[in-house]
Amino acid sequence: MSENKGILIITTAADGKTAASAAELFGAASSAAPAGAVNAAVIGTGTAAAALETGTFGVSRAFAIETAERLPGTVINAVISAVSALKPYLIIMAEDDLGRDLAPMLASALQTAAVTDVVSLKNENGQTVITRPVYGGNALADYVIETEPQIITIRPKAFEPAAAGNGQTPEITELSLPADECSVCLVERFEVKQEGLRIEDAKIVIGGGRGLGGPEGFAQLKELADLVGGSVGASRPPCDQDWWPESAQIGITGKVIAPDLYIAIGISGSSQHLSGVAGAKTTVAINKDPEANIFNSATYGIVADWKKVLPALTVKVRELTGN
Amino acid sequence: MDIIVLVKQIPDPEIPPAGFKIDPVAKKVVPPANVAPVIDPYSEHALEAALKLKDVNPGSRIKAVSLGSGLNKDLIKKTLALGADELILVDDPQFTDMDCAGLAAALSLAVRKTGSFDIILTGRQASDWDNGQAGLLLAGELDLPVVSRVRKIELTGGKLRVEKVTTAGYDVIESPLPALVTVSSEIGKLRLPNIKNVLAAKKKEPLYWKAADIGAATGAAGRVKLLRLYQPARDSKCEAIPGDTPEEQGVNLALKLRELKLV
Repeated sequence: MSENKGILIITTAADGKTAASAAELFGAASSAAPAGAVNAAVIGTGTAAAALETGTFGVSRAFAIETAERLPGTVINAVISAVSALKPYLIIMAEDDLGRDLAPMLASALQTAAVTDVVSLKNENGQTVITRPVYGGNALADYVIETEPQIITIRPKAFEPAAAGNGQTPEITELSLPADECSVCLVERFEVKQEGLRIEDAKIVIGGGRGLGGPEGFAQLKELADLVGGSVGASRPPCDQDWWPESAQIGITGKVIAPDLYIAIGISGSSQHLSGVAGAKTTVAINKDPEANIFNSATYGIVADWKKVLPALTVKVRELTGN
Repeated sequence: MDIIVLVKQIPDPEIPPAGFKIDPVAKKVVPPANVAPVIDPYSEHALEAALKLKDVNPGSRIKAVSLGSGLNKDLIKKTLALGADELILVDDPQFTDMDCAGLAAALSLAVRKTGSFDIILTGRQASDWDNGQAGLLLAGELDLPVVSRVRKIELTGGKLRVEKVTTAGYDVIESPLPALVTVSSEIGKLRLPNIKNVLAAKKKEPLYWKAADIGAATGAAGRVKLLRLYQPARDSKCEAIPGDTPEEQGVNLALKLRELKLV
């Protein structure tokens, strides 16, 4: 039995505001095998204030790592210092731009192992069993990491967020980064502006697939989405063919979404796509192919030509919502 | 410049979900009898990145390296037909069912034996286990700077300048050489081979190495244990929206969504 105890949550902050995914990380921690305290390291800007906030999740010790860039190679030594101070048995971070690089780099530096894109954790006989989709979501694999600290990244929306409580005031340790010292350096950061609501934030997402036949169909999807305050996404083929922006590609290599309502139009339902929408509470599929795989995971289905269904649906929704 | 590109052979990820089977006891995927393995799509993007670098840096040499068990020579020779100068197949039953750390350790031995290099290119993840770790772990083994999920690569003033895909857009990042870069699909599809290269490739033979040739220890212990492999239970109770015509179904769907307070 190792002497490592407790869990370290690694999260990010911008301008003192903790990432929304942090509550999901603490939610995941509650599914793991309990062993000691849950503590945190916060990476980003305004981290001292954000680290203080983690007290609402019961954190008693928090590390603040201040950096505007959040590059894994730049923060890794500071993270290793936090790990050395806490000696956790499990490290949890988000499967995001930072986490998906930091987890394997940390595993390599600490001579341990990471499992990425985790969707479920179970406590089996005091052991944390880690589940992740493999083969594009066609299968699930349960793993145990046999070295410590065990490192995992969790898929967005896969875990219920932990509720913030009154908590406590954590002891904060600020860890500084070496100034102007980088091997892999950021030169410039570009943000591609997305029109309207981001698909990962929308409560209603209308998805278009190859079956739309061209970029024109997306205007009709947009009309319905605007009507219901939703957002339009696409499966991979329309993005590959520039019918719809790649930034709104839904799937395992695109955006993972968990809206209240997902309407899949002309989408056959590859495993990669279904894996990215598995968190949707209600899925409606409209496709003229009755054999389309999307019907296997849809709640409601219409086997018909979307060109006939969608205008009628839009008109009726307009009438019902009075928009 | 000397380029190493890592190429992985995987079961065809385009197998329709209905044809996808696993053996839960062996904890393995059972590929349908008539479906041949393929080069991983992300490896193809890495190869395209290598070819693009060679296009603008004449005199560059590309070594393609594939490590696995039961590699299909004719399949992976496609790298030669497309313009790789050498192909090394590191093929040994020992390389079955390795975890990411084991794979990275074996790859590092293969790369060291391959000789000097300026850049190692690999896919951002492989479409079988989707871990997205091998490249980053390999960089750790070789103590190399690493940038992941790259969509554009340039050499400027002896440095590497890349565009890394991020959730919000992209980062322009500089790195010294030698370095490891994992390539994302945005770099572009793998080009088609030309006849001259196809004919030249026919005359070339890959170099074959076994585990012992690269000094890989037998029976190296893994760090991650696969407990179970299973197919997710699909809730296939899809309720058909009634209606005599598609238009009527559209109207009924709107009513249903209203009833559920979803719109």
